Amino acid sequence: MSSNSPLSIFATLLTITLFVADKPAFSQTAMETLVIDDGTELAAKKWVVAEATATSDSKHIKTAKTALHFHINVDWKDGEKNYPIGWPRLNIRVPPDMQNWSNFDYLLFSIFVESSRTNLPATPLGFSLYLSGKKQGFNRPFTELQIGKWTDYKIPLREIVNTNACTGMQFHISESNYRDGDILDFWIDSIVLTRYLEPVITEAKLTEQTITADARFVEVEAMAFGIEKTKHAVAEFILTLNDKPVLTETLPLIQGRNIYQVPLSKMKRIPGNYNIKITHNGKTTVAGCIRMIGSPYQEDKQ
Amino acid sequence: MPDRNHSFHLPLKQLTIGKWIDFKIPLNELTNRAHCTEIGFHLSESEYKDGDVVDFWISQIVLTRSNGKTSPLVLDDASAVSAKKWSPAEASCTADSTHVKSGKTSLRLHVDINWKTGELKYPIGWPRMSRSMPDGCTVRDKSYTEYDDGKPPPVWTCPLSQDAVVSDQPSEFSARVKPGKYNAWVLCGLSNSRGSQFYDFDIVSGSEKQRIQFENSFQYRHVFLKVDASDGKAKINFTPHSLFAICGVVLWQDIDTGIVQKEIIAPIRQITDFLPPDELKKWTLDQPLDTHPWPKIPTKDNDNGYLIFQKHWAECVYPNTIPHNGELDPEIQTFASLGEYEPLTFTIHPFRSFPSVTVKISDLKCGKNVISASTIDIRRVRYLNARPNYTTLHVYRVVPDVLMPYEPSPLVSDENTTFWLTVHVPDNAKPGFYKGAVTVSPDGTAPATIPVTFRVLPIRLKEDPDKIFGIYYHDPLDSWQRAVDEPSKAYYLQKSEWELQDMVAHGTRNVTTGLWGPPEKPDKPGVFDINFDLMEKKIAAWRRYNFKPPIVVGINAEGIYAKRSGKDHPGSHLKGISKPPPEYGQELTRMCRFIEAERIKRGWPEFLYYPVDEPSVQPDAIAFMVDTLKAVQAAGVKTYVTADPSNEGFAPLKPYVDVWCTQPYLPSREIILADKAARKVDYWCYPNHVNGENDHTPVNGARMTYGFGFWRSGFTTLIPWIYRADVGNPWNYLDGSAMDFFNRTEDDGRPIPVAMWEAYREGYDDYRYVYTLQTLITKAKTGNAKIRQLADDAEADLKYIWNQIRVQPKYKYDDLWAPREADVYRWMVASHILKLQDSETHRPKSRSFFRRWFSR
Repeated sequence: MSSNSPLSIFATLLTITLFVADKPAFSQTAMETLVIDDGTELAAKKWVVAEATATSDSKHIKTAKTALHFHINVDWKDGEKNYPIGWPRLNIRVPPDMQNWSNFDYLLFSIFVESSRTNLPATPLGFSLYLSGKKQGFNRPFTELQIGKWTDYKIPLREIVNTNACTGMQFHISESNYRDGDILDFWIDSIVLTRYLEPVITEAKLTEQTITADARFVEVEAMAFGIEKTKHAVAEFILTLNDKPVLTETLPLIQGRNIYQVPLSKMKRIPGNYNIKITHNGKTTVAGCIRMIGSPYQEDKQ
Repeated sequence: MPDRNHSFHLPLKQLTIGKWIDFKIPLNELTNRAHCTEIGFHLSESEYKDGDVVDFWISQIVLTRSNGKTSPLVLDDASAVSAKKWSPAEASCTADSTHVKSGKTSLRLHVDINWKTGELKYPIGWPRMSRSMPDGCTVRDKSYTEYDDGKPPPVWTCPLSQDAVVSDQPSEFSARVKPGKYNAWVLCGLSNSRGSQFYDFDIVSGSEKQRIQFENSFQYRHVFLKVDASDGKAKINFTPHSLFAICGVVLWQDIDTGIVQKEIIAPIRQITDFLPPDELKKWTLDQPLDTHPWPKIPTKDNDNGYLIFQKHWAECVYPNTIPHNGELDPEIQTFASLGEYEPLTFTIHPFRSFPSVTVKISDLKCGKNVISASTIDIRRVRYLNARPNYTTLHVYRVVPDVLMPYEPSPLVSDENTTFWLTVHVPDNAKPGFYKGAVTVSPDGTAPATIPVTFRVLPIRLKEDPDKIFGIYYHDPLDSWQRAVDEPSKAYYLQKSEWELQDMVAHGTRNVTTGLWGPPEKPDKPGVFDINFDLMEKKIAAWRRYNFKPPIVVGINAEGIYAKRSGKDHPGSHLKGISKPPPEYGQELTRMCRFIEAERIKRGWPEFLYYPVDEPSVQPDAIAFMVDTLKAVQAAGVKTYVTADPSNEGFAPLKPYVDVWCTQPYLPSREIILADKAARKVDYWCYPNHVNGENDHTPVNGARMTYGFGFWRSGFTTLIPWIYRADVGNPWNYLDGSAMDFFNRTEDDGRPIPVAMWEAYREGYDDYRYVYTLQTLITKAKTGNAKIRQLADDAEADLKYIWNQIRVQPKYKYDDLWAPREADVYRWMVASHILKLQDSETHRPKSRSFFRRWFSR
């Protein structure tokens, strides 16, 4: 990386750290992180701003001493000539030697909001990634934001195509979603890329909450990382009814978000509430509870 | 030549009294002959004396090519039939045999020079006759490179496709060739705009005849046939039932088949059916990829060269989708109520190519009761190249989309083919478990059998009278009205009937329409030239199919704005609008009153007046909307506005909106119910994100939107854009300013559904299951303790389902129920319906007090 690169600040920040997540399954899992914005004044200057300001600010912080502060005075009469009701925004360009994000699992940051308003519109803030070679990028409305609260974002990069050439990112609002004269302040804390260095299940959930007794399988959607391409780890999928195991199936675990179909043919399928969990490498991830009801295809019963 | 306002004029100075003069006009020297719409003859009375009498006899008018091998194209044969196609002014045109050069008659243009009559301002005028060319000839259509608005053209063209011959007269293609047997490829179609026209013709070679039909233009048909040219003449006849449109003919002998296919047909078809090579370079294929490994293939499937798997019908199966283990070796199981339509799907994945595959379903039997196989609709899911969203450019993906009528078709190696079967349960079917099988037979290998269990439930689903399933609509009756020939009129009339029947079968009970007319004339304030008789015909159809009011009626507010402000029509979303003068609102009120008076006089259902589509929140647009809505309401009628009231920019409109129509399910149920309780207002939803404005893949989101999501919302009506809209070539989504929208059309005018349209119906059915149970619960609450308990159980499960809904403004892809989970909830509802119905059947008959007293 050249010394005058917009992201030169990150040159020495590619580190191996121990990342303590909020779920037991992730604890003490080796991770690698790359910091994109650390909230400092130097980092704030890297952003190209339109119809807004970007500074480093300590009023609301989460992990560092300062955070990136995105300030907007909504003005329906100012801005671009053709679009006075415009799109205040922050852009950062990623230098070519740092554009390959395809080996990272997540993009992480947190956002805190203050406003002259008492509540936020349905889409308070938008986020985009510019992916080279594509006319389309990745866009995500941040509908979860609330005034006076931190919201944590964990964007799974494996689900975005062409992250091997991420040329830039943007935070923006659409002034049409606000009233003329509204004031908005977003604090964006610590934008980092992360990847796991050993197999881990980071998330698991059931794709369905209710099934019928004739179902051939239960589907579990699990996010697994730290598994090399073309290889797989092994995990046990366990169903319990009234706290008693009724089925254990061993399935290969592969990198990324995947659907795992747990065949039910080996168990007696009686209506009830089943708990489902996955165990891997001594760690257990709860997928959820599923309700099984009677089948429409049992001729003697409804 | 309307493309560029160019025309060609030639003074015929050579004419001499008493002599035939031959004219041979070299067309190659004409510029801009892309679209020759009309020919005419005229004289200037100023060059004659008042009282002169002039007669011209005009022989056949033909087009020829200099190669000498092709027959001339007769534009006018000077017959009596042709003479009637000319429109004379201040003159007459007849077929006459006084002077004849070829054929039996000539066209006679007769003129009595009269310097005092004719047009009021020009008594010394221009006697003339002209005829239009829809039944004549298009010399050259527009090339795709001639569209310069920065958007893709409506159709991709090549020189062959830009040269169409169109006629209402039987014609023969004849070419001198080396004697022998030939193959022919006839490229049919037009690459230029022709609306409200149905092309219907036979292509005949010897005893082989193929009928070609298509509507409008911007599309092609490929006809392959054998031509016997043993006498050295290759002849192909074109017999129009309305018009024929032929771009070109390619002839070759068997020995050249390989080279012709590779070097002529394939490159041209790539252009006409996909993209020209230079354009293709700009487009990227962005195909969804499965990352999970293939399941272990059963030995029998490996041996047979294909496997069959089943995903839920609401899941998209792409050409490259990889099945999961649990989806192999499927058994089809489903249930439905009396009169209900229910989809069944399965997919074949061939490991090698097969020339053809046939699919048959047996009768479904339950003891002596039968659902006949002949009533089960079989379709093949056709892939189309789709843009990720309707206006996105230069990115496409191959998506499962159109449900084509079944016919045996080839299987391409390693490409999934999905079949879509729809069972329509007869209204009088006996409930029970019907069994049958689907047999899949790829040529040259062992067939596969898929067992089918189809449970017919003893349920008659009820429609909620307070809800409406509607849709925006381009009514074929508009084309019917504009069409100029009888075959076209008959086509659009039949198309209208088929589409309405299809809508009714999908639960649609309301469509949008319009009463468009120009602003009033200065001398006739309050009078507007609006075709109410056409609306009468639409209302008659509306009544015939039991549609539910009110009717959304578009009106020409923008036309009045342009007239009164002296400015152009505003752009989309009222871009460029400015405050109109007070006369704008006054005239708009008069227009609404005029329409409303006619509505009342004719006894039509209530209208919702729809003056502007999708205004923006720009201050000028909002100010204009306030003026507009006030003016509409001043006529004593209701307003309909496509805007989201949860966007605060629309707040100034609130007092003037009778019906909000929003794209997302916003505002929330709670806000809507509170607003409706406080004042007279209604909330409709046009969920375009699960209709046409996407790549046609949010099928599961569509079902959720139209079914359980609708139930959970506070909205009363769903009215998405649009049942069908063609933007250029209806079979190519990579042309046109936007993609084509939603359902497609068979060549004869029958509708072809897309998968999302079937999801609309499944959502409609989901809602009917819920509503049917709700009515039974209400009734059961008045029953005995046992029945009340059943009602409580049902209510608890309805609440459970209600709570399972992850409420979203737009149900599209993310955080939805898994497709089969919706079936589970439908079954949960159905099972309670059965229990409550059963309890009603066995409910003790109420007895009078006296009977009970005496029976003690």
